[in-house]
Order: sequence, then structure tokens, then C-alpha cells
Amino acid sequence: MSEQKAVEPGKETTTGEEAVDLIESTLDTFLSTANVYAAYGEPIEKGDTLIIPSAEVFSVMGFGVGMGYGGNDEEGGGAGSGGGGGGRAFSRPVAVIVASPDGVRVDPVVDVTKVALAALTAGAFMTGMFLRLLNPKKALKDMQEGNFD
Amino acid sequence: MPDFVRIETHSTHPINHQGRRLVAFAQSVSLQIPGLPFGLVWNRPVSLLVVDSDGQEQIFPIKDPTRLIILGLACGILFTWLITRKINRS
Repeated sequence: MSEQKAVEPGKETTTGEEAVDLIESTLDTFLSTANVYAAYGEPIEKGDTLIIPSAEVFSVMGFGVGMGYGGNDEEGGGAGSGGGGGGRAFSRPVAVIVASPDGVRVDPVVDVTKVALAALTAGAFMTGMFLRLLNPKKALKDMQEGNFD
Repeated sequence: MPDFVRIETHSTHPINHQGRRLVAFAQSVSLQIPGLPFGLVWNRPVSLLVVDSDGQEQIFPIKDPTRLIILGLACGILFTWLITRKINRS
């Protein structure tokens, strides 16, 4: 978003201040999401059983704003400002709380997809590192250089 | 702890069910460096407090097996890197 207008002598532009105020209020609203109801969902009641889902939520947000002035009164001058921002929220189920006449229990939730991806990445990385140790080109180079250690 | 990092523990309103009272706790870590238009918030469930009709209290910790497994894999990567580096140097 951006806007451009002629600078009138004696009049100050408040576009930059408004942008900063907007950023601060948006950040305050964003930081207010640090509360318990972001981690726990609405309880679900089915018969005698109560289920409360829980999740881990990670949110990040950033903004940027800039403004500039140019020219002089004789040439008309000019001012411009712009800004932008973005954010992302990640959530992952952690556990389910089940309250029944038999008692209360916490059932953990394993994110199989995430674990599988992490295991594949870790496995590939470790395999690559071990293969570097067994590198035949490196061994041949060492032999040619007389390095038999 | 620096002022721009806030670690707080919050609790839900008590939930009454079948004569029991349940209170869930969550921990939040928020980061907002003054002067920088950047913010970060991390919420995670921590524990559950159950108060029975006879007043007996029980605390159930909420464990995150996914994060434990991923941390274990990360430690494995780090350990492998250190070992291979040591072998390469020797």
C-alpha cells in the first residue's frame, strides 16, 4: 500500500505516525493471543464423557514501514509512504483430555507425519555424513599422497 | 530474563463435570523487542488439575511425545556430526 500527496507548506503529514500507531496496536492485539484458550479448544460433551482437545500454537508476525520526502516548495515537493507486513501461525495437536465416569486421563497425540518427515531428514543427513567417511575418492587421494593413517 | 521476553502460565476457568472440577494450564512465551515491528508467541498446554468431589487433587502433566521424538532426532544428528567430525580430524 502506498500513497503520494503534495506537501503543503506549514502542514505536517501524519501518515507515518498513523502507520506506526497501527503497527503498535496490531502487535498488541497479536501478543494478546498469548493466552490459555489458544492452547485448549472448546470442551466437547458426549453423554457422560467430556473431551478437551489441546494443541501447541506458534505465531509470528512482522511489519515494515517506510516514508520519504522529496523536492522543495517551488517544485511542489512530494511525500510518499508505504508499508507491509505478514504473519504465520502454526498449530499442532498435543493431547486430548478425556473425563469420563471411569476417571480422567490425558491421551497424547503423536503427529506421525511430522515424526516421519523428521526421521527421513535425520536419516538422510546421518547417512550422508557416514558416506563421506567412506568416500572412496578421498581414500584413493590419501593413498596417492602416501597418507596411510 | 530480558523484558522483551515474557513467560507466563495461564489457567482456564474451572470446568465442572461429573462432580469433578477441571482446570487446564498453559504456558505462553511471547517475544517483542521494543522498537522492532516483530512479535512471536508460543502457546503450549502444560498440565491439568483435577479436583474430585471429596476435595482430592490430582495433577496430570501433559507431555508432548512428538516434540520429544523430534528433539531426540535432532540430538542424533548433532551427535553424528560431532562423531564424523572427530573421525575426519583423527
